[in-house]
Amino acid sequence: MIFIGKKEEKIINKFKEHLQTVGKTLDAFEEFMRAYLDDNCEEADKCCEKVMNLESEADALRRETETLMYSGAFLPNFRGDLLGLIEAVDRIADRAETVVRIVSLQQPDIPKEIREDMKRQVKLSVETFKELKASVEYMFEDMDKAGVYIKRTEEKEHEEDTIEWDMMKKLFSLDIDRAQKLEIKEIITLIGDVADLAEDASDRVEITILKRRV
Amino acid sequence: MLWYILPSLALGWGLGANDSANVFGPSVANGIVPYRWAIIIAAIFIVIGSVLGGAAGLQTIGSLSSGSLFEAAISILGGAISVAIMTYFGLPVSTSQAVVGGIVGIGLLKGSVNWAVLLKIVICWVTTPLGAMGIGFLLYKIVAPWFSRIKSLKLQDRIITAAAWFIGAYGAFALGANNVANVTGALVGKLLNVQQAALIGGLSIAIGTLTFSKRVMLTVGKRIIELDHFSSLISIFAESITVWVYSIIGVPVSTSQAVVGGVLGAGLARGTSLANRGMLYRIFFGWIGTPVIAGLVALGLYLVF
Repeated sequence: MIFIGKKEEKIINKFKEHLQTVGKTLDAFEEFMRAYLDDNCEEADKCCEKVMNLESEADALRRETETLMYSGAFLPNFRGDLLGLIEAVDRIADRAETVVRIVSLQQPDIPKEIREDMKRQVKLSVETFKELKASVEYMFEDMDKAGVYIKRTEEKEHEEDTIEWDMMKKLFSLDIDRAQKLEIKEIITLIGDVADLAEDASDRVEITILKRRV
Repeated sequence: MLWYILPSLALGWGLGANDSANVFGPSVANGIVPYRWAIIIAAIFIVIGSVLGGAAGLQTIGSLSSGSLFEAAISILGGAISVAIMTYFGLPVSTSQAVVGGIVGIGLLKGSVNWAVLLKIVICWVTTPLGAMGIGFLLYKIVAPWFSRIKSLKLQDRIITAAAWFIGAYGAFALGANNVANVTGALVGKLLNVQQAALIGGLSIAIGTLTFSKRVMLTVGKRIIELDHFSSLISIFAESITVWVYSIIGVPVSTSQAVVGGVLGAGLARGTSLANRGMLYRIFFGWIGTPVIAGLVALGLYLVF
């Protein structure tokens, strides 16, 4: 591979490192939600801190990668695509952190009837990100394969959307206080955003690849 | 004697400032090749092209009119002034067409025009955009399937970068080989021999490229990179091949018209029609308007002096 320059390798490695860190943030986010939904407060507190630390680590990595990107690696118009993509990926970790912060702060009383659904929703959101992660990793090496994972990201997001809507219906049919319903509705929406943002990022991967079709 | 060369030097300088954009413009405008390196590579290859490949064109232009050295110098001056005036008014202009117009303008008055040579030149003008279009179409059809088989984004980027340098250098070579005849061709056999004309002409184009090409490069470049990287490189490659072929035939042609042909050809192969009325008008004007204006200017100058 004599054609591949050192600068590009360095950026790709940083980019992948950032993806890994966002992945770890999301894993911690899932652990947090499980602990919270199982009423394991001690574990939830631990995970909350982990999420915040990992999120700021991801932020730092994003900034490093962005600085590196403007040192002249890759074609200039691709640098813009990459920059947009890394920002988009970073927003996923941001959103996961927001959920964790809100749940920790408000300590909402989540009805037993939707707890298992919520665990599944979180799992699906994290899985949506994992498909996106694979598509980004393959983007550099094999654009066809990246396309396969873009499709899978869309499918997972759709799955998450379905469960999100079902939960909403279930939530509003429960005989609980309206304020509680609205509080939980916000959390469900925010968890859904994690999957939505992963899909948005995968759209960027798709456009980047499409732009190169000749 | 030096006075007779001055119009050529001015014309060469203007040509370098304007036409190097047709080879390195898109690559510079979209940041693939840094401007400073683009002009250095262009300057070197323009001189090499002029010296190694300029002879045929120089002889053609040298034989277009049998007039005196004074008439030749005035013809070039007329061409150079026309290019300057038309550029100022934003009219499409090609040095090749202006110089031939200048020579023929005075030649008509003196009855010294070699009509067979003129016919050959005009046929080449008309076939330049058409030829480049055909080459652009074929190149795209041949190279695109191969290029799209490259799945690695990193490798694609590297190939585009390497191709931008290679095609730019080749284009500069073709530009020098083809267009040097505009600069010093009229002096061949009257003041300079072919080698001297090639060297002096090539150097003056190179100096124009080195000193004054940035703005044109960015404007022309931006216009062409409406296309993607791949298609714009194919267009320039098609232009370069066309211009190079005409340098072997020995007729200086317009690189601007060749690049338009290249863009149209690549666009057609991609399935998009990029032609418009304005573009065709500019090409027709290049064939007829430019030589007529340059002929009149040269004639005016001749009568004044």
